[in-house]
Amino acid sequence: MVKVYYFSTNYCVKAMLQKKRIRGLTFIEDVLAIAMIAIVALGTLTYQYYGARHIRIAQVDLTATRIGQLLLEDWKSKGGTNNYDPTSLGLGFTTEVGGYFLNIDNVTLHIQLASNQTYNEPYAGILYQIGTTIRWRSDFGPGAISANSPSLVLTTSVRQGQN
Amino acid sequence: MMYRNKKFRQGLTLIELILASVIAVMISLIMGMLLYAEQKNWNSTYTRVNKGIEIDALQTMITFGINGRKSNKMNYRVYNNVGDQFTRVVPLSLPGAGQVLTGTAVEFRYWTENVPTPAIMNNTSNTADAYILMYFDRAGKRLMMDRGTYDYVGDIGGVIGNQRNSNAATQVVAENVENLKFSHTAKNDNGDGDGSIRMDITLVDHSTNRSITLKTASLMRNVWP
Repeated sequence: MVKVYYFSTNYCVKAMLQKKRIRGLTFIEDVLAIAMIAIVALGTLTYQYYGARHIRIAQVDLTATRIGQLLLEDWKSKGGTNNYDPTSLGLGFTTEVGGYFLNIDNVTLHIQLASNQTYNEPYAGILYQIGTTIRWRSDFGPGAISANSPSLVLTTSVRQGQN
Repeated sequence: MMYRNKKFRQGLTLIELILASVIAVMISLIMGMLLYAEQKNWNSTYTRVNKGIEIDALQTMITFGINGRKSNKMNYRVYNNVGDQFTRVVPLSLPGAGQVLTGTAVEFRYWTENVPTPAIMNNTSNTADAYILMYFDRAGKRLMMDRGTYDYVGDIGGVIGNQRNSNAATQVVAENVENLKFSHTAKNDNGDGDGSIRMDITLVDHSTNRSITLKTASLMRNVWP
């Protein structure tokens, strides 16, 4: 009995000592786990951000295309004259240095118009190439545009006096 | 003795178990959020592409553009309408040329492929044999379109007197229309235009608070006589 008691006590002490040495997570493991979670979360958020941003970019592209088409169609009705003025249409176009701007669907579009005579022939008449360049800021807000700002160029031809 | 030692062999501690569970729950939550958000985005994109104000805007632009282009620029009308009462828009002062005239309806007139005889079309007093009347239904917040036969002899189209022609085939072009204006630039005192009709329309989806402002123009290509 004494022997058994002695062994049992010895074993309990040993077990307690063993328990004290039990490892939890190391600092490195903790950091790695947190980093992995952060990478997954960051990836998700970035994906969502770019998804939303590209939807917005597509919307602005579409809006700019419509405005470009509006201007070229209407300009054609004036026969491509050099003095075509979008501000006279009552559609919200405003004059600015070097062109016009329009606020539409939460974006400011900066518009430039250009007209060049490309052909002059007795029977065909005088042909003009008319075009519009529409630019907007990458953040879609008001303010000055830069060389890297997105842009859209539309061009067509019109015969002088075609209207 | 070996049996007893085995009994006390180390497994996971409670802390490790909790940490592992927390990490697993967080990863599951993140994956769940990702899947949920992507499903939502997919639905949103599908809605944008296949229904809602985007489709209405596209349909409006195409309908307006096609019908305008095939119409006779020498014979079209801009009206203001209140319900089915239509009043032609004319310059308020003289001279009328150069004035921008704005209304809520436009009537295009054009030749169909079913012209009875070439002689009828070649008669310069006849300008079209069909009409399309696009107008704003304020009460229903819709852009409507009437189609019908244009009586080139009696000059009877989409509006008879001040009333909408009741024999027309009517269809809805766009819903959720908040504002709609048609305009053109007058070329004379009668209010005849220069052939470019402009449309300024705002579509609002109240369920998502999104809106589209569509500004477009259609240049009438046909001149007859």
